[in-house]
Amino acid sequence: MTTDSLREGTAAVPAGELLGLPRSMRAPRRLLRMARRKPLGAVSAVIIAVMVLTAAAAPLLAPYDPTETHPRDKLQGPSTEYRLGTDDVGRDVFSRIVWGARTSLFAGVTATVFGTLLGSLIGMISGYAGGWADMVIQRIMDSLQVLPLIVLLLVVVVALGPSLWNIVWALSIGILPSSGRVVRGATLAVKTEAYVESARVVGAGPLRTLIRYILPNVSAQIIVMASVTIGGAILAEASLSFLGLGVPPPNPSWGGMLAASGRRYFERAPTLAIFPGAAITLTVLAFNLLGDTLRDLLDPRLRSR
Amino acid sequence: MTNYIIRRLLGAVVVLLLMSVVVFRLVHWLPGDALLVKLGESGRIPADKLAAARAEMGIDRPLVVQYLDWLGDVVRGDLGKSLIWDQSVASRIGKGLPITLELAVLASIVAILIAVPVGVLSAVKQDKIIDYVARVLAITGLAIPGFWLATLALLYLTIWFQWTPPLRYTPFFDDPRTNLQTFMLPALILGYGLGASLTRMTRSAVLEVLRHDYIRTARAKGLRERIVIGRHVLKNSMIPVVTIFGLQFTGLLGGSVIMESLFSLPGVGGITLQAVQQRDYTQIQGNVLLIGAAAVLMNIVIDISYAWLDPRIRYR
Repeated sequence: MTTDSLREGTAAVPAGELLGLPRSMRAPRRLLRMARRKPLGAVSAVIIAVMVLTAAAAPLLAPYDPTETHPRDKLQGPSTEYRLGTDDVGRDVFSRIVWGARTSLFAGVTATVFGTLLGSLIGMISGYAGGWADMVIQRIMDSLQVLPLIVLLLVVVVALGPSLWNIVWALSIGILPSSGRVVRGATLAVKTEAYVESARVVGAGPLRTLIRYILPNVSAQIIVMASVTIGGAILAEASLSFLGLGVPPPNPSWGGMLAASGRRYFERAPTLAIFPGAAITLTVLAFNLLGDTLRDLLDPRLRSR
Repeated sequence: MTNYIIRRLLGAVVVLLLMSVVVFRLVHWLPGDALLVKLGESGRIPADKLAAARAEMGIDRPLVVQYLDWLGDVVRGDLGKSLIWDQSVASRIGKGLPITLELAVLASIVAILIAVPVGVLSAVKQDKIIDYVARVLAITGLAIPGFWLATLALLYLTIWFQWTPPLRYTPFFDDPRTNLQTFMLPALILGYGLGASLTRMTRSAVLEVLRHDYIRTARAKGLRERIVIGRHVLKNSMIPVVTIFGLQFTGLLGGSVIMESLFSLPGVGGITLQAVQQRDYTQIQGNVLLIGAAAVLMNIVIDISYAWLDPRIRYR
């Protein structure tokens, strides 16, 4: 089912071939056509690209060091000197937002990749093996899922100390059970297909069957799931930082900039409260829209809507 | 049906047991212990006195013994005593629970009041302007952090109207007006976030049902649109909506640490956060066990509700 749909997805493409365009020109055209068909997806992809570039080029883009204080310029509004103003110890808000993009994107993307990969692996094995192994794995996943996420995050972060990597571990564990369940379901569906059956008949071992025949057919679901998870992971990191359990200060993070310590200055400089939150919202929005678009493109059941 | 419920409840016990082992192992992994937190950093205490105090609290025994001891009490209906506070774990939860429950119920009402009408309208008017507006509002609601919205709300209510909601918990039956003023903002903000994903789910579920033949039949035989939607579409599209709603409500029962702290509501979430920070093992275990039990029960209730929504579903 999934292979058909993937082929279908690319079937509309060879127009470039018909027009006799050189191969190198076809890819941009393909992108352009996709952008016209899914404008929101295209816009969100552009936003994400800008965010990623911002994070990558933070040292070049930020006019100041994000932790550098300017005691004489506390709580200033936006100006030519400080584009988005300064905070209560005179740090440049624009520079902190630019560097904060690194924290948010790194935490969101890495946690999603780890959590989804491990969850998918466990889900595939569980679904393919079936029987007792499946039962045991699923009950362990259940108990992880029943455990309140906030407790899991708190315990891991408090136990290991607040650092970016520890937040990533905690978030990955939080993502694991739901991705495991989705991939297990997809594996169960694919497992009964005739091509998996015939692979087994001609003597493919379990490992080969999993990698060569099952993985390619559940990969669309894995990609879709990962793309809708990133936004949530970024939000979770921001919430932890907001509670003061994220990356330790003075390191810049969007959630941390909104945290309680700066709260009483917001009335004097409302921009302090506005920009970091807007950055979080825009990024999460872009990832969610991209996830929606990918789902529309890759999930055949939603195709007609 | 009874058989099914019994089997599910047995399964739930297994899941909860596993979970309590995981939590027990996890919280004992935290550096320091309740005694050190209790004593604070005031002065140095001789090691033998520390050991004696630990023995008195029972936190010096092997973990397995501690766990089995705790489990034995739980089976007898006793969640134990807080290691830090001179209160039982159950009584502290009992104090936080009404607050958490009130917030959960109010936020759910807001979420449903937004999600069902907007989701249905959005589906019925697919690709019209109203659909686009609804979808944009929904997907924005998923992206806006609740703590930011709350911060902005508090900030601009002060700046524009010189008004701040009463940031102190007043029980509903003491003073309903003040109580609702305190709960209004967190309920609206949580409700908007939850309503956003619920709206999306409602919309796609309704769209799915609208394509069925029996809807065409209902329209063809001349039923008014309101009746088609109310009688034929709504109930048939509610299964995925109820699923998401159940999961959301379970999440709310754990307490919203952020909303509770922003609006000074001493609910279950805050107690859990404090217990982790204070290494109050028994309190953490008790909170997590109750939240977990609520989650497991909720899952069973959701599954049973399927049979009511769709009589073709039978449990054996």
